[in-house]
Amino acid sequence: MTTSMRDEILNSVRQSCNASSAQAVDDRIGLRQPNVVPARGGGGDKISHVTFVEEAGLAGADIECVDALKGVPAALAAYLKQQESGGNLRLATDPLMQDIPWEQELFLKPASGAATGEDGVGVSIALAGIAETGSVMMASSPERPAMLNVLPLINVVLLPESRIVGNYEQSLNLVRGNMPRMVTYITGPSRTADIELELLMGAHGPQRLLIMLIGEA
Amino acid sequence: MQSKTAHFKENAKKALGDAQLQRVLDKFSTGFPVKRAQAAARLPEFEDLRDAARDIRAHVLDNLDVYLERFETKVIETGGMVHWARGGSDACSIIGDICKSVDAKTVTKSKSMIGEEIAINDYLEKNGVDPVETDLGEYIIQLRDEPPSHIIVPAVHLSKEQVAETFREKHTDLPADRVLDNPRILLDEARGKLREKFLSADVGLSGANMLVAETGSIALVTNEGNADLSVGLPRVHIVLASIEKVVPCMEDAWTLLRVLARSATGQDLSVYTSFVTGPKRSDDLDGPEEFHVVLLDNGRSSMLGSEFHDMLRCIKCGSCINHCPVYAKIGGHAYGWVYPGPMGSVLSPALLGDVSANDLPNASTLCGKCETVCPVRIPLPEMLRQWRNRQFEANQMPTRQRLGLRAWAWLARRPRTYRLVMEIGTGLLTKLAPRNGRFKNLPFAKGWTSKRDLPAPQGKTFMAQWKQRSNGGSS
Repeated sequence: MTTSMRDEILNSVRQSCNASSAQAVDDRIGLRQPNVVPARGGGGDKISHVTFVEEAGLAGADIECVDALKGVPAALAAYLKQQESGGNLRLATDPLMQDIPWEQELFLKPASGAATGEDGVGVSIALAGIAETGSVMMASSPERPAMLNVLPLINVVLLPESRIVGNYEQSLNLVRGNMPRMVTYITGPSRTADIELELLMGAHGPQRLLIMLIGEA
Repeated sequence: MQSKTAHFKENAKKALGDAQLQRVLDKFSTGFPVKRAQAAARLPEFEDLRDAARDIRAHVLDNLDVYLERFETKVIETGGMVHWARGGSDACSIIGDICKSVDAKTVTKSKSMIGEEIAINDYLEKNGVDPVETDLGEYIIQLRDEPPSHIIVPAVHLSKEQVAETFREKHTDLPADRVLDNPRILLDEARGKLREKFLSADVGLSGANMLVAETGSIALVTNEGNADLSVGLPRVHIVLASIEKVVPCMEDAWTLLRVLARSATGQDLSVYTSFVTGPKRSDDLDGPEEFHVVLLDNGRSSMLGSEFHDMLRCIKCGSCINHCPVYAKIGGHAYGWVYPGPMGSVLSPALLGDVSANDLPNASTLCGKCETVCPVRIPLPEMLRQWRNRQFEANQMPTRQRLGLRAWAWLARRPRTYRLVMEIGTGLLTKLAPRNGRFKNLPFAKGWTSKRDLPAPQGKTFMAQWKQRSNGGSS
């Protein structure tokens, strides 16, 4: 039954697409050329870095800069205390995460595995940062479960500075050819304006998004 | 969703007299247009992006059959399943069967106007499945058993007091005397309620903002994060999308995304922009085991190639609705079906396929604001005019209106006679004019004079004055 409905629909579409061309479609899909890319997402590495920080701030993200991975625990502990949050962390198991000396901050209690509804803080690693809109690109994998970004109340994203690119198009080759199940570009914390158009953070997802920019020191 | 488009006139009248609705609509109509203008002003390339977005959508529609086949192949390659549904009831039974196959009790839903179109919630409820809307606005109107009044802010017609009343009535497990006096408290209560649902649902049902032919991915865009939670936690993810939603490759998706949020809410990008490709991979810790895409036609393939072809370029941003002076006065419910405002007035008559929505294309002055803000440059006023044309051709208008139009058309095509009639009419009105220069009532013009005076003409017609001026060089 489904097969015949498929043919019915496609035939009906074909009747009006009489000039459609399989060659044109395959060429177009294969082209993979950026269309119009805003100048805001161009510029060199230095400019991208400045734009990223500016735009992420405008989108409502918090930004902490640390010199190296070993600086993460102290900066994160300070941030969480300031937010009056607990120190229980749900971590992605990304290889980069292994280099972070969590034991230096006793306040932080890291655990790995899939996120649960009770997790207060999720810590994951971005594949890229997009300067154009201050977005972080998250890609799911066994090491980076997708729900880590949306279930916890505070979403912490680690972003090595070298992963900042100017625009979305420049991030596509990181996943092209082998799309992870879930690729999410996050721009600021979860929000809604559904009640009398009043903007409120933390609708279903995190109330805060902390982007920790990791230097190359 | 049951169409009430046939009652447009009564409903519009009722809306105009509803003080509470007028208050929230005033707030609404000044908010989004300003934000869109600011977002557009911040991006010098915005107009070029609109051109590119229009071209992508037009190219896809010209080759839609091939794009659908390419998309289908990719979904299957990445482990998903594709189902084709000719009409709403076909889509309902496909989704119902998938739910039955996994013995689903609860389905979490992220906002989908296609879902409203086919009334999937009613169908699921009748079949013993509990559908839970997770977009905050949709959740509120689901509790109130109301249809959405806007495609991106579905509860925009409600005040916070009405929301509080609804929560008190429906969330009976919470203390009856709790304080619910501001949006933050209301949101936190809904967040708590929906969290339980996200974690316990068996199936997640979403729409799709786009279908990417290159990768077989679907794009989901939300600000709340509810789509990601709805489809990431249950065992099964079902996508319900209409056939025109395909885009060629990821670069094209991003061009459309650059204009989508800016046109909708004035944000540069929505908070969560997700590309979902197939089911959970073998070693993943989370994600659904099954990934189904239901492709729905429901009247769209017959719009292709018609005078309403370009309407299918629509990316459902709601910008035309946000800027429409008619919507700003009557709200979304008056339109009587899923899609309100200019896009709805073009789309509803086509999708409903009968005369019940005939009033909608007539409820416009064709001011053209919608076209100036449409990210894919759909000629909405021209298509509203096409509907009126069709109604005239098919003899679906009241006799008086039809005869009036016919008389006017006859006159308008004969400039000399037109000028003569105008001169006589102007002369007559000038002679008959009351001293204060305003007519309080006039025969055949009650529709005008019952609400306001008609100013009497001031001397000769424009054409006569123009002629005089060009001949004499001065007047």
